[in-house]
Amino acid sequence: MCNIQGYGLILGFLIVLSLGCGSLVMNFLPDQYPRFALLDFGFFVQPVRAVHVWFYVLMLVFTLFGINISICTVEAFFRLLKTKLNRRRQIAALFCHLSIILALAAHLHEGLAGSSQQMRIGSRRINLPRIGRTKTASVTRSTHPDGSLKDTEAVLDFESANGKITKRKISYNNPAIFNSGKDQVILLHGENNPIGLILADSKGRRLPPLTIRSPLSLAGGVLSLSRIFPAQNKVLFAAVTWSTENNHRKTHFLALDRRFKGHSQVMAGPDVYTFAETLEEASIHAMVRHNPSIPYMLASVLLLGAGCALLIPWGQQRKTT
Amino acid sequence: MPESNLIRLAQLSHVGFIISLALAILLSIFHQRKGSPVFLMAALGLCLPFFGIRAWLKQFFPFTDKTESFVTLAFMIAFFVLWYHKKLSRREFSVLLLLSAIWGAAAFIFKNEIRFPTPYLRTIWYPLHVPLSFASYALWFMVGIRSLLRRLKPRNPPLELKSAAFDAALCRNGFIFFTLSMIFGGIWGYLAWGAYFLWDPKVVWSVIVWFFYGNLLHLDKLPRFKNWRDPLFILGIVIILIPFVGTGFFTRSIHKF
Repeated sequence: MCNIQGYGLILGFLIVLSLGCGSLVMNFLPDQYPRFALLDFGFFVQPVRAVHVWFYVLMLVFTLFGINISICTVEAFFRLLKTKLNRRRQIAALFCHLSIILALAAHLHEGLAGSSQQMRIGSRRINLPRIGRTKTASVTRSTHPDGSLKDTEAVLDFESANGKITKRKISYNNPAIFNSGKDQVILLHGENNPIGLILADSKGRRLPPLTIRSPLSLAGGVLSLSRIFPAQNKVLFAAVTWSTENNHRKTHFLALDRRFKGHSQVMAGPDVYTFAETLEEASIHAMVRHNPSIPYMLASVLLLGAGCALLIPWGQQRKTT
Repeated sequence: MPESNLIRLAQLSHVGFIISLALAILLSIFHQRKGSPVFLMAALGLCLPFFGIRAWLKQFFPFTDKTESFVTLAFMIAFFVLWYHKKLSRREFSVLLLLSAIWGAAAFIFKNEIRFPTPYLRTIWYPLHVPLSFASYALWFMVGIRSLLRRLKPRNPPLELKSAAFDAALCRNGFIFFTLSMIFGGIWGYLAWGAYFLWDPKVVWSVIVWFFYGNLLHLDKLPRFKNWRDPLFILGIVIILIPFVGTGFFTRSIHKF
């Protein structure tokens, strides 16, 4: 038993060593390793590269460690059946070791079969594998008194394969979780993007929405929107072009803020139109993650927690020397 | 009370914490430790306005920046020194309190500003994850310092035996705290980034620390590794400093302060 544990100890220190080397390599070669790298073994083997040698060593050591700890756990189990002394501590150790075996298996499964994808989810439905078709219904941002971002809350609209629609609220640290935790939609950033505007005529009547995709046909020509951009003072401006039938074109820069009266009007032929409202589209930048190992990672966490609870010497008096 | 006055009051309580620790150390050195625990309790009590005011101003748990992290670690070391003071020798007591005072005083290096937490920090998993890991660092610092002092001045064998049992208990308690901290951190990581593990320096070093001290828990069962104990516990101090200071300041970690 001592021999096996001794090898386990040496393998444990080899893990420490190879992880330490890996950490240094990753830190000092930032152009070779992405900053936000999830557990994806494909990154290290497609293609196989000399710079990843620490990872290959780590995998080998982890494999040996996994075999070693499995043997120790089986041995500990049979020892537990025979002994009546100090059973609580032995059960704690057994739970902790079982949880490590489960965690190793979960990491292996995640590294081989897990996937993640970053994407923008706007007001048009997009298909998310295993989850369904989704779109962003709304985004609400809250700020601290100093103006810094406090939280962002987005409402997502999911349509499952059978046509059932459900709404889910997501925010930072609060993802939408599906399939027993195996699939997630995680909020990375959310905002309301200006996509168009509404103009009003001299009598205050509102025109149909003007967006990049939908120009407005007015008497004598067409009013089109080419882009919306923030100026240096953070006020949004829209580049609006008035084109007449005889190919006369004039571009106006329209302030999307009613406080700038002189700059929030556009001349289209004989008429003057005033900015009335900005049209916004709620969209989020999200990470869609699939990790099939979550259920047994959860089992591992529960076992580890139980092991720790059993390790605590409940009710024992502190002795003084 | 205006905000600037509150910040000054928090700073004053921070200064009071260091002065009380200094008095506890002096009493320990020159007065056979009589009265030291009282000053130590006063020091811990003086931390409360520091944490309370900062929590009030940032509307969140007060261990999100460099100043607070350093004071939290100093607080944890002082707390465990008080908790176990009857088991510590006068020398260990003084050196550990000096270490606590150094961490506490090092917090003055940083700009004293109170910033609101970023959205990712605003979760219940944060206050569960961070203090537990600092508690384990404090316990492991205790073991490391005790081993270092033991190496400098060995004691007689019966005392050594008791001492080894105490070290094992400290090491085990630190491991329990750190495991719980890792569990809470993993849950937080899953909710915030979709992963309980990232190839991030802080996360990798947390795994290293966990494996390292997990290994040390087995040393008592392996008599032929007995002589490794003290050097490994001393090495542990360096290994803890890497995730606590190293990755926080010198890497491109997403956990960077």
